[in-house]
Parts: sequence; C-alpha cells; structure tokens
Amino acid sequence: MSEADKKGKERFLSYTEAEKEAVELMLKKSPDIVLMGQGINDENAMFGVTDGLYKKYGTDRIFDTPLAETGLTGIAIGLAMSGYKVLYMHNRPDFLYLAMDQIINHAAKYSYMSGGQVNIPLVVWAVTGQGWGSAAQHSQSIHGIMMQVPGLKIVMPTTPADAKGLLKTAMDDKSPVLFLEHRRLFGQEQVVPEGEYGIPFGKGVLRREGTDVTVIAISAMVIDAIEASERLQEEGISTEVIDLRTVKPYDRELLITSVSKTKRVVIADTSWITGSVAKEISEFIYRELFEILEKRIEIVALPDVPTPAAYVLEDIYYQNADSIYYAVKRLMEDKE
Amino acid sequence: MESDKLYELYKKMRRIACVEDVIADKYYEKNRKMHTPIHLYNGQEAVAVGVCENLDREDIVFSNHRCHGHYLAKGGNLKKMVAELYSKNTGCCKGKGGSMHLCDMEAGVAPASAIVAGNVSIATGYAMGNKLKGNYNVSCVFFGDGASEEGSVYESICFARLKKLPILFVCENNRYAINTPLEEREPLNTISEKFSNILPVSVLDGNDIEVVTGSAKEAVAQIRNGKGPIFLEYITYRTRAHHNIGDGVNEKIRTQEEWNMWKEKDPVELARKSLIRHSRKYVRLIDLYEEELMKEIEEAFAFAEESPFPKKEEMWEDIWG
Ligand SMILES: Cc1ncc(C[n+]2csc(CCOP(=O)(O)OP(=O)(O)O)c2C)c(N)n1
Ligand SMILES: [Mg+2]
Repeated sequence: MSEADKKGKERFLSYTEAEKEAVELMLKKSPDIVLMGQGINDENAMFGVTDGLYKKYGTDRIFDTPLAETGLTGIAIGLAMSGYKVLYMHNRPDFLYLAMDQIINHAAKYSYMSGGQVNIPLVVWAVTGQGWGSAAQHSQSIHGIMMQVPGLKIVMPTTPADAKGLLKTAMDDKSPVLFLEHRRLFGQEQVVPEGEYGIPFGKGVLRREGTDVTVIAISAMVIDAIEASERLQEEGISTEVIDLRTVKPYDRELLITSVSKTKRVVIADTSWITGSVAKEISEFIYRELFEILEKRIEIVALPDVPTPAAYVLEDIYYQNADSIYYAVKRLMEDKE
Repeated sequence: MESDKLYELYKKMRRIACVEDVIADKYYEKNRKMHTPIHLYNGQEAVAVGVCENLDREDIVFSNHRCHGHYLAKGGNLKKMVAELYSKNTGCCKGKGGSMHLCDMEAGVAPASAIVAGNVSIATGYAMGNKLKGNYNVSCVFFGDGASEEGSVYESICFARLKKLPILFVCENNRYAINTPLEEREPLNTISEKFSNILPVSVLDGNDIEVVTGSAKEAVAQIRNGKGPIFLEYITYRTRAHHNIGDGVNEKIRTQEEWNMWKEKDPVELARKSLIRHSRKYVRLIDLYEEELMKEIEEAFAFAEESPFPKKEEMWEDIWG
C-alpha cells in the first residue's frame, strides 16, 4: 500500500469520538465495566462519549444517576470494591467538590488503610469549561487541589489519540484515577489508531522539539504552547513543547532531559497559580537543575481570583498563546 | 429461642465485651503498647452479634469508628485485630489502619471508615455490585444515630430503594454523637421516621439479643429474596465514654442515673440472666467459657506483643491498588 493510499484509509476522530471508541472496546471485551453519570444516557451523552451505548450494553451497566455526588461517589467506590471497573462521568469538575469526602477520605485511602486488602478501580471523569461567561462555578481546573492527595492518579490528556489510550490505561488501573479534560480540546480531529492500546502513566511526550526554551504544558495549554512556538520560530526562537499528559505521576525524566538541553523553562497550567501543579514542577526543576538554569522559571497560570463572567474580564483572566509567547520572550531577552 | 442457641449468642457477645474490657485495662499500662484512639463497643454487643448471626461469610459488613464489635461478630481475626492495635505488621491492616479502620476481607469485613457515615454509600455501591453479579449476598452497614444526619445517608437510602438493592441499613441509636444528645440534633423521636416513607423501617430493642437476631433474620431473608433495602433502628446505649476507656458519665448530659438504668439492661448481662433462668447448667458452662475466652484473649495479646513492627520501607507499600 502506498503512503497516499494509507492516508486515505486513516480515520480522523474527534476527542470524544476517540474516547467513545476506547470505552466501547472495553465494554465489548469485559462484562465488569460500569459507566455512570448524571445525564449519561441523554442526548448530550457526556459530550458524545457515551452516545447510544446503553442501547447495546443495557442500563444496568450504563446508568444515569440522581443529583447526589457525595452519595453516588461512595456508591461508585463500593461498586469498584465489589469487583467492577467504574467510570463515573461528570460534565464539570466543579461538581466534584461535593464528592471530595468520598474521593479523598475513601477512594484514595482504602487500599492503604486496609493494608492492601481492597482496591478501588474507579475513574472519575470530568471536563473543565472555559468562556462564554461560564463564571466561577463552571470553569474550574481541580488538578492542583487534588494533586496533594496520596493515592490518587491524575490524567490530563491533550489529543484524541492520547485520550483514547490513556482512558484504557486508567480503566485498567487498580487505583482511583481522576481523568480531567478541557472543553477547548474538543475541537480537535486527529488520526487515531484503531483497536485497543494503552499509554503508560508518567510518560510525557514532546509535541515539538527545540533548543532555546522548554515549555511544559498541561492540557489545553499544550494547544497554546504549540501556537506560541510557531510564532516564536518565525522569530528564530526554538521552543521545545512538552505535553505532560499525566500530572500524577509526572514524567520527571523527560523534564530533566529537555531542561538540561534548553536551560530555560516556561510552565503553562490551566489552573490557579498558588499551590499549582506548575509550582510543584518548578520546585522539582529548581531542585534537580538549579545550577544549570540560565533564568528563573516563568509560570503561566491563572491569577488567584474566581473566574469572572464578563468577557472583558475573562480576556484578562485566561492565559493563552500570547501569555506563553511573552513568557518565552522574557526568558530570551539577554540572549537576543 | 432455644437456650443452647442463646448460649452461643451469649458467648459471642461476652467475647466482644471481654476483648473491649481487656483493651481498656491495658490501654494506660505503664509502657503503653496501644497507640491508637479507641471507641469501645460495650453496651451495644447485641446489635453486632444479632445482626451478623444472620450473615454468611460471603455477605459483607461495613462499619465505622466503633468497629471492634462488628469486626469480631462477623468473624474478623482476633489476633490480627489486637496486633493492629499494637501497631504491628501482623495486624489486620499491617499497622496502617489502627483501631478505627479494622478490615478482614476474608471474613467479609470491609475497611471501617472513621468519617461519620462514610461507609453508608460505599456499602450501597457494594450491594449494587452484588445485584449486578446476580448473587444473593447481602451488604450490611452499621452506623450511628449521629451518622444518620449526614446527607449521604439520605442519598444512599433513596438510591438503594430506587434500584432495590440488597442492603441492610443498621442504625445503632445510642442517643449520643460524642456528647451531643439526640434531642439537640434530631427533629423527630426516632431516626427511622426520617426514612420511613422511602423504605421499610423498624425501631427495635437493641439490647435484647433475641429481638435483634429475630428482626435481622427476617430482614436478611427478605433482602435475599430481592425485596430491596431494609432499615433497622436498634435503640441501645454505650456504657463507655465516646472514646477512650471511661464510662462517659458526666453531670450535665449523661447522668449517673441514666447510666445505671442502662447498665441494668446490659445485653450481655440480660442474656446471662436469661440463660440461668432457663437452666442451672449454664452457670457452669458460662464459667467454663470464661476460662476458654481468657485464654484466647491472652494468646491474642501475646501474639501482638511478639509480632514485629512494620519495617520503614513498608510505609511506602499499599498506596496503590
Ligand atoms: C464527618 C465527620 N464529622 C465529625 C466527626 C467526629 N466524630 C467522630 S464520632 C462522632 C459521633 C458519631 O456519632 P454516632 O454516629 O451516633 O456514633 P457513635 O459514636 O454514637 O457510635 C463524631 C461527631 C467525624 N469523625 N466525621
Ligand atoms: Mg450515637
């Protein structure tokens, strides 16, 4: 088959189509998978991820839930403890604050407190919103808050192909996993491999190779980082873009390799700056590579305010390709 | 109830009471060995024993901070329990749970949660798992009158009813949440009334082992038959302080008169008296059991004493499933 023929046969899938494929392959194969969520079988169907699945796999295994996030998270944990792999889906992470007790006090601790007698194979899935005046309760990225908790893994895929592979790995994991997505990623389409495959946790990926500055980006900020790096390239500045993919665990090796080369670092996060994943990573880099850094690390993250509704304020609040562009420029000032 | 059956139940209650008493005796010994906050079960033994009497090994029990009685009644390993209190790596949780998180999955005892009501929803989910698998196992959750005030209990009960889940909700109403009496927290006279239009509820004497065993037997049979969840509220009293080893009597709230009145109704004592009324032979049998029991408990404490502490590197184990 020629390259051109191959290309014609390659399938372009959106982010949620890729996830739906992952879910369906798993449902088909193993009878011990359960999906739950408020509105999971309605026409929105978790942005399409669960579209129509209940018709094939039944509402015992794919069930809509009452609006009781605390209780239902406990129920998801109990299901997981009884031997099911559970995917509990939420339209927004903001609603998970109601379930903090169950996620943090129970899911994250039961394996440890019981001396390994129980596992909680639970994946909690949620999509961060942005823009359109969503305001302070429909726009939050909660990975910084959750990263502190021992016993939780946190996955934040960026591309459709990664979302598919990481969702499988998450569902196969015996520990609780937070699977956090971002609405800004849903516009993408990409060639997605067929069949089942997993992507290991703790492995980031280079989205772009470069020599002057490393931009470490999380979730939707990867898109901005790539856009910024294209503009910077035109100005002769070569940036390396790392897509972290999983923030707990995160890929320390890749960070060391890349920063050892560039010696300049920008970290771009979708959440607030104080106590953020970006700060955690910057501390790691300072600790490991302090002597070789040319400049102090630049962090691009949200200011410490609740998300404003007015679009003129959203424009200041949200960080974007521009923010990354200028952060890189600041690091390159003396070099130019 | 046949007297020999009652004798069996008596022994199980007495065993729990005795373990708790020995823990209390040793808790403040000179070189303290138990470094873990304890919530003793004395006074409520009939609830755990009477309910668990009707459960099989495959059935699962979920418990709370006051978990010693539930753990033992369901068949949790005594040696491993004491070793856990002694921070040893032979403990049921390898020294990572302590007194409030006893767990013995082999015996059908899930990890206990010390977040009040934390396990009520988890037990409900476990029941859903049983239902999906199509087995006839029952999930049973013990929680206090205080716990019933948490929103997730209401959420769980509604969901259990909606899905007709095989779960037994057992509320041990000892009228206190730490030092706050029922009257200052609850709008109605019983806990059950809050849930009575959602699922079948009963309010029962939790200090009478025959009542508890009989009511739980009926409930478990119905649940196994697919009739859905049932809520049993047992009125009882802890004759210990909320935590630690005292009797919890204080001038303002838990008066000496109140305590005395309940001590008269201590479930283990009631069963003992009833046995002796049945037949004088039990005087001797009870004494014999006492010897056997003390030996078992001494062995368990010796096992705990002799066991090794967890090694430093074990701190990093079992974080992940
Ligand atoms: C969510 C939560 N709130 C408060 C506490 C502190 N606390 C521990 S036990 C307890 C009282 C519980 O009362 P009840 O449920 O009636 O159980 P009992 O102690 O009487 O057996 C409280 C308030 C806790 N552990 N968890
Ligand atoms: Mg109470």
